Amino acid sequence: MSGILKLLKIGLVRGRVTRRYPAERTPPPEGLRGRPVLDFDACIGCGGCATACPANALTVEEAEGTWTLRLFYGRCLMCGLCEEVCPKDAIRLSDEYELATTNREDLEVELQLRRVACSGCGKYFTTRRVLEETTAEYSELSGGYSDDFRDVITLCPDCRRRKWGEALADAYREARYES
Amino acid sequence: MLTGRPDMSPDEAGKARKSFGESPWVFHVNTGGCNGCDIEIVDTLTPYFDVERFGMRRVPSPKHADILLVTGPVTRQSYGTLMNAYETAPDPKLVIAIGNCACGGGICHDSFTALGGVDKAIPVDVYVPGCPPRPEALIHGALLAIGKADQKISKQTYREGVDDARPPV
Repeated sequence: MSGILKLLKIGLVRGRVTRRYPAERTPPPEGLRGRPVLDFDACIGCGGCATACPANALTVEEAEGTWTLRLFYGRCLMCGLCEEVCPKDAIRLSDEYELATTNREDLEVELQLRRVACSGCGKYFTTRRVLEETTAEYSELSGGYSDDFRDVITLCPDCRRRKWGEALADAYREARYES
Repeated sequence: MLTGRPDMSPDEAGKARKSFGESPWVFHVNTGGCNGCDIEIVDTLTPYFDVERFGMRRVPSPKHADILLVTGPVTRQSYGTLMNAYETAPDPKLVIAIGNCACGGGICHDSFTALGGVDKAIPVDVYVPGCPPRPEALIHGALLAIGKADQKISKQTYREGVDDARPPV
């Protein structure tokens, strides 16, 4: 009997503690790591987030002309490493946490970007947006945009290496003949 | 939606769904998880989140259960236990996969000791991702399962050149 009275006293002193969750949504606490949200227009397709993701929730699939980033919330740990490495702030953790679905497909996000072909060998090597970004940064640093730069940047890494190697060999040959 | 009885007529399924709305009893199966999700399930049973407002009670035997709460990536050792619990629970029943490990394998998705997801073993009705999911997310998932809440996210796809306004170079 005294136990019940004790409980009654505690109940009367404390009042209602239960949160009325579905009726009133409690505001998420400061700094809550909710689901990551992709900004489709800002993503340039560097693939850094997929490399950083510890659980492989973010995966990259490279096809002939397309570059596809897939995010599966059913595997995402909400650790925030993708947000940390993203150079364009295209992936950010939101404060949404009610992710329950009746369907596995609803937990997926798919982002498909176009890849560009090498002007030398015709092999697809990077996304169009990465090239745009590199060009913009180069123009800003060097104060202009040259045709030489366009020749170099539209080549895949293999062709670029070959081109520079040939240029170096030519210069060496010229220097030897002159002396 | 209602697992275990794919041959159920819409009339029967409607009746079963209505009965789930009254007081579904839940049975909790851990299939090799880290106990983080289990602690969140216990949290939803405490007075703070009090899931018994919706008539949900945790029962000690799958024979009494309407809903199976499954956590963990279904390790090879726990596969038999999970199948026993699933077959013991009376039809119709609902299965809720709680946590990343149960939804898609989580960090154990490529492990040789785990199946990587509850849906590889038994049909799942509701997925509640999160590592671990917040107690509110668990309540939302449970209400979604019994048809008292709406789903908030859906599949998103974006194709460059089709869905964007940026002109091509």
